[in-house]
Amino acid sequence: MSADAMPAPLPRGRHRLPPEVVEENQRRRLIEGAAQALLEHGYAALTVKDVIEAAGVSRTTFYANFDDKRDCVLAAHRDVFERLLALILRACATEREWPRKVRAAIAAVFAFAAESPGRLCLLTLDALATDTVIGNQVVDSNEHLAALLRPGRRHTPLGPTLPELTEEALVGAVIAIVGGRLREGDPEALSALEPEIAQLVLTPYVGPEEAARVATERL
Amino acid sequence: MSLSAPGPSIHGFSRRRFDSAFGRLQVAVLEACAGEGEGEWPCRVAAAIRAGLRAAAGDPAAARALTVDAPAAGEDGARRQQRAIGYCAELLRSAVPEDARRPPLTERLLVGAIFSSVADRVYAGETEGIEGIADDLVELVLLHYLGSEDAARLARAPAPA
Repeated sequence: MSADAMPAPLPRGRHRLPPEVVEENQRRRLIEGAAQALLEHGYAALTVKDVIEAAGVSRTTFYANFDDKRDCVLAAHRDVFERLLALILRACATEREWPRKVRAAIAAVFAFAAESPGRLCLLTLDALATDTVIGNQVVDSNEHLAALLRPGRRHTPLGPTLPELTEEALVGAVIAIVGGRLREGDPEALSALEPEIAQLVLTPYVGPEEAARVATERL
Repeated sequence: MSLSAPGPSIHGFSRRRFDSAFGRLQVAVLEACAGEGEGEWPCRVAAAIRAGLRAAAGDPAAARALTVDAPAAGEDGARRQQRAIGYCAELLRSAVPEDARRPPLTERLLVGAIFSSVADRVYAGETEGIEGIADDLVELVLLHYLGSEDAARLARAPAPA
């Protein structure tokens, strides 16, 4: 099942499901609905109606879970970022050398993008101009990813001398490329870029030859 | 009004503002390249990056239109920004001699790095700091072609009088 799949609607009418199961299902549907609707409409044009239609829940259910569309989008963004972060950390843990950790992390991001393009697109949506609160959360999550890359300064020969904004710029650039490709609607083609992206991210730390070698190694 | 007519969209993104900002960026970058004449290609690249950043710092509204408003405006804005990044990436690639070229995605990633670094500062209201990241960005771009040492030397060299 694709990770983008919407949780199945619960049976209508009387049922014996515990309230917390119902609430969790509805909340998950709203988060998925927000991701789908955002992909289609963009943040500025997004309405609560778009979200509840995509989620297949009532307006009353929406407002029982979230204050407004911003609250819902923030929750969706946080949910997707936490899932992606968990995948990245798990992928890194399978490797010992820092360059291979980066390679594994990037492979995990691309696998997530191929399986869940809608969700990943949520992370690349640039709502900065239209909503400061969302913008701050996006900036924080990008900074978190940059921080994961920063230990490369200690573990690689070229790392200590790199320009201060290297990680911030690399994370921003990768997000821009992935977001652009996802918006073009071709997540399958995205995976073909993975070795090249890994090579380009590693180049500042280990040089182009070593970066090319690591990027094409079997994981 | 025609649907394709330039002008403000309902989301505050203006095609006209974007195109005008991109036009001015192109002029600044091309003039900087021309100013380097037949000089070494890394110097032309460095001059172009510095000129682009100077233009962004000098016109925060244009920098905002290019790096922040466009991708937030949905499909049309995002497509325009991707085209602008593609143009700059092609310009960078054409400046690099064939024997120094890197994988095809290199320039798109590097130009994307510049755009996102500017966007971060625009968003944070720190447009006066945009020129201050020029050395770092020149070094980050050039190290992909020249290696760390030469890129750092060229990026940190004092500007000619």
